[in-house]
Amino acid sequence: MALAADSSIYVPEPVTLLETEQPTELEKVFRVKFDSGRPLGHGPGQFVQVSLFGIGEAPISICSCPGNDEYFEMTVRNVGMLTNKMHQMADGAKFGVRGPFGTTFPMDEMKGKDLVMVAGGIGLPPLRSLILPVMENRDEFGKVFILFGTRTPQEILFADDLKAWNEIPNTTVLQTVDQGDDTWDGNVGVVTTLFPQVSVDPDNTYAAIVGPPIMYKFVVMELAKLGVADERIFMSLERRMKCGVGKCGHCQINQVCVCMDGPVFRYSEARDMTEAI
Amino acid sequence: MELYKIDEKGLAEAMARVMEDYRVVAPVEKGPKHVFDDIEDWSDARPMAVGTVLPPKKYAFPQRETLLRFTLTGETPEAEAVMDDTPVVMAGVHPCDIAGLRCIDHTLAGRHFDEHYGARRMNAIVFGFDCMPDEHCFCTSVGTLKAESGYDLFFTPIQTGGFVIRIGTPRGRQLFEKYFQHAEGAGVYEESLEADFRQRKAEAVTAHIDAPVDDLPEVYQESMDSEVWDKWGAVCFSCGSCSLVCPTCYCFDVQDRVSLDGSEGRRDRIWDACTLPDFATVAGGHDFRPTAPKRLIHRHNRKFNYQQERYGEPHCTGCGRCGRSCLVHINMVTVANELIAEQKGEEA
Ligand SMILES: Cc1cc2nc3c(=O)[nH]c(=O)nc-3n(C[C@H](O)[C@H](O)[C@H](O)COP(=O)(O)OP(=O)(O)OC[C@H]3O[C@@H](n4cnc5c(N)ncnc54)[C@H](O)[C@@H]3O)c2cc1C
Ligand code: SF4
Ligand code: SF4
Ligand code: FES
Repeated sequence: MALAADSSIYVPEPVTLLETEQPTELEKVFRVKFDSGRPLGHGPGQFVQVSLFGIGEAPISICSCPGNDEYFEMTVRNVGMLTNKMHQMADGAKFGVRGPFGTTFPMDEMKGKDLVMVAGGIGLPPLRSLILPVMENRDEFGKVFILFGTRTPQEILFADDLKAWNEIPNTTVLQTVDQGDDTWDGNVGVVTTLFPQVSVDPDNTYAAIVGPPIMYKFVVMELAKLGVADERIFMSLERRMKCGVGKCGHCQINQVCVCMDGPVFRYSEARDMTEAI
Repeated sequence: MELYKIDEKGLAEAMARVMEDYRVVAPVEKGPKHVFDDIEDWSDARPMAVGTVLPPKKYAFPQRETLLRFTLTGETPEAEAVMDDTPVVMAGVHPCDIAGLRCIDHTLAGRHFDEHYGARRMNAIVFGFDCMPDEHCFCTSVGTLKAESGYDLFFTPIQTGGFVIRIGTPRGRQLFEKYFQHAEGAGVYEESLEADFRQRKAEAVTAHIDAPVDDLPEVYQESMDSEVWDKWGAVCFSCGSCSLVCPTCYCFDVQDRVSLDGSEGRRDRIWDACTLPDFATVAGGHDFRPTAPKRLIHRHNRKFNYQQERYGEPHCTGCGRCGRSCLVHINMVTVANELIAEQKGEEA
């Protein structure tokens, strides 16, 4: 007999859109809360499945600080069906969310260490869920370098945050764009061109990387040059995802599911997977 | 363990009574092939037929299945989960397909229990049947010649006619007592002529993998760059048939459907296949497995390396379906043996 049940692992929970902000032409930041009032309770690097009935679901990272019981935030690039529909939503709109899912950047392990955090484009939002708690507990960490690359100056996300972080002692924000213009007097080139400005104690350094697929290999090479061990490099990998709970098979890399065993991987593990980077 | 026996007539009689109370599915003839379908008359059933086009997994994990129904009219989107717990007796499930269901259980009933699968799976009653292998079967190479568990009742034909019945679960015992125990020709079976059938069955297998199954993860691990993949990838159509017919494949896509008036809809899951192009494409167009060889490496490694390492048993059951359905004759045994031979050559 077909029966209707209240719940299954695929039933999303309703959320309300509190407000949005649009920092770039393609990206919008969504601040939302669960209608039930429950906190999301995510860790740095985790994601949710955003669910729009009639359209489908998409994995989206949380970009706000863990521990916020009021709301959580996501930065969404408008690239297709679901993300386009999200961009059209007005404040107060209701939609669905499942999660949080996936592994986290190991904050506790990183304590007392120098940090090199490298983001490309839409990779900054997931990394922000790590950077924010680090900044809140700034004296528990060593030197912090934040490296951020975008294609153009117009694609820079969280410009105010970047400025504020750069003003915190012992914290350096380095930015670059692939193509400059009249408004840009900073570094031009891919994100790896920023590495000469990074000085850390390699034996005491952790790294975190989030960016487009092409970026990882080159950033890892730079970190190796600095002398950062593979065990202390963490990366968040993107894959096609349909379920977020280890069922649909889409996100599998070798024997792991990115949605559950990732998205955050230690490079010493990812290194040995033939398809990872 | 107690064994029982039943003759052909007694079985037909018992199954007729099972059919009065349950939906029963079994292999039936369809043109030159066999498919699992609903039966109303046991004489239509071909429970020993080898190589049904699709495995019986379709009753636990249908090709298209509604997960959620939702309404779009209210202010807040609302959804309810849809599950089907209609009991179904699957009669004619061979040891390979019993193993296939267990493989899918590892994933769908593992971490984050999938209630939709669970509802169907727990109500899918397994009447296992022994079978006579054809030239595509290779159960002896992957440990699925005989089912040790995973069935409610298991039927093995005996030379003197009729079947030996093994009871695998408490539910199986209840069904046995209710429908089979008192059927004509039923009785207790003592000495094991079962072994005789199994011997003949093993001898009928002609396709063999040239290495112990426990060695396969390493063989595949070492073969990521093998030219064997390029050779077969060059002829593979990326049609996805091999995955769609496989008893251990569970990958799916999710699609929303909305009613014409836009007031309601449903979210369905549909079988997907890692051998299809775009299976691993993400927004922005990047494809993590852009070529047929890469997709074949993934599929074959899922069977004999990735899932085998993760769950401790091969995720190829030797059923031979992918080989039967592939237009260019790509099959697990040929590929495995080429990889094994290549490595032996390298060692020599
Ligand atoms: C763990 C994780 C975290 C993520 N975090 C974020 C985040 O924080 N912010 C964010 O914006 N994005 C994030 N993404 C990416 C995001 O999930 C995708 O951009 C999103 O799924 C796109 O959905 P869509 O329905 O809008 O696009 P779709 O309509 O699905 O398609 C988007 C584009 O991809 C193409 N495409 C889609 N499917 C195929 C296919 N099968 N073959 C070829 N091309 C195809 C389409 O043509 C289109 O141009 C994340 C992804 C993952 C895995
Ligand atoms: S059935 Fe054969 S041709 Fe089709 S995808 Fe599978 S291996 Fe390739
Ligand atoms: S891989 Fe082929 S032979 Fe092995 S279980 Fe799947 S369909 Fe059967
Ligand atoms: S997204 Fe479905 S298995 Fe990971």
